[in-house]
Amino acid sequence: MISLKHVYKTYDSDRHALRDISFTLNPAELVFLTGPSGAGKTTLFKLLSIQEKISSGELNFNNHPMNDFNIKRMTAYRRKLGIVFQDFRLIQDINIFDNVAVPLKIQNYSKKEISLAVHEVLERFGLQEYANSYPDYISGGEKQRVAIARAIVHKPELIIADEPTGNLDRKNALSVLSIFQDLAAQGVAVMIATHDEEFLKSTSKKSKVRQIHLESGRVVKDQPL
Amino acid sequence: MKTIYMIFMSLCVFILSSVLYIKQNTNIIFGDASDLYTVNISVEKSQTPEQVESILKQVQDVHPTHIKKVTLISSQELIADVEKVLPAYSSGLFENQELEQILNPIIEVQLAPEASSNDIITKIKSITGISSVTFSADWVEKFKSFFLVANIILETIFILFFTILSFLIAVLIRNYLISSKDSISLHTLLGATPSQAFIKPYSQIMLLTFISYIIGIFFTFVLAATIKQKVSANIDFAFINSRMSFLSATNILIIALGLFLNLAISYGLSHRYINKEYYKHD
Repeated sequence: MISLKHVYKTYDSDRHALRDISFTLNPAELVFLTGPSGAGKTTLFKLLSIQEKISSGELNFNNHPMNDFNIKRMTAYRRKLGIVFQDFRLIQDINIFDNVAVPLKIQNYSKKEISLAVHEVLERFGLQEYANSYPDYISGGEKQRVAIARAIVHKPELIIADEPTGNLDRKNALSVLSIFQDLAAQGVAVMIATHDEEFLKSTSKKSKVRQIHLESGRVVKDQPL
Repeated sequence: MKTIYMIFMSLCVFILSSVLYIKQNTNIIFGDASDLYTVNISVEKSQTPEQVESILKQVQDVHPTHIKKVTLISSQELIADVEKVLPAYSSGLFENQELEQILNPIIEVQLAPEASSNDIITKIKSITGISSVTFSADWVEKFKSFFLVANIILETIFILFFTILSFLIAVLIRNYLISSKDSISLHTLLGATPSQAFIKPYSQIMLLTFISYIIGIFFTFVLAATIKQKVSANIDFAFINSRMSFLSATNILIIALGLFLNLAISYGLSHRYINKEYYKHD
């Protein structure tokens, strides 16, 4: 599905954020991207969501190169992607329902389809009562769940989540992990960045689970769990 | 941001439309006040219709380029005017015959604003068969240069305002759009095309600009009504009052077109910025 070959990301010509990264992420696979702060997890996510250009190497999605910044291909790729941002990135002046509906509106779903899909996902995350609330009036944990709901509402082929459980208590974190595992079991490729290694122990056998460990911008471990 | 934008934009529209309104009315009152440049020639009663015709021809020949129009108003036409204006008095105070004796035929000569009225009047006075010559706009003549300068100043002010405000409006629109960059950035990351990412903030700015335009024009209307009221309170300005008019449709359209042009330019600039920022990563 998505593959990186000898990817380098360099800032200011001599600061290497990522060095020689190579891996493939397949459908129905749940990958944990681990590593200490500054290891390059967020940079890798930025490259995967094409927020930044790779300095050298190859990034392919379904065998199509993604580093040429072709707008048509880029938007088509992003529509197949579900992203959970570390800082949630909810739009402050629209309500929770509309926030979750953004990916569907971009893809021109009908009002009926949007209503059905958004209510279904809000119910799944226990957020129905907040449908008409604004992001400023909900807690950090609730915002986190809204961000996850938005990432999965359009049934993406690939999900990348940067510290998706950072603001959740253990119970809610495990519940979110279970949702990601369910998605992976349904054929979605999921990549979760986390620094909480304990979290990895809570995975079940529902899907293939793998750990990629980064240190100083390099992959030092890539193994199944 | 929305409130600041609306206040500033309404103010810009108000300033521009007010300057246009003042310029338009100055033009109407002084700039091309051709009917004020009228010389009235009273023809002697003793002149036969043929002689009057001859006087008319001679007047026309005094300065064919600076004399715009020559009209003969007979005594009968003048009497009809008096009867129309003063019906109650004309029947009781004067007999038609008495009026005919009082009112001489008049030749009305309309001069071009650039004409030298003194030269023309001197030449007219030398024509035989004329009892008196009056020029109704001596004061206009005296202040002609002043009006000309005032007009140039107003035009310059308008062009300056238009340029400065156009620039400010364009910058304001661009900044407003860029202030929505969080929303735009999110939309782009979720797969929106540049146009999709842009449509909401841009339609918002279009709506705000339209509302500001209406507010600005409304306040100009209030200003115009206030000026007209003040002018009409003073009888000395009666002739000004009758000539004053609100912004012409053309001027209202000029401002609307200016705003539209600004919106289009800002759209182009911001679209390029967003494209570069979120899609090209140059």
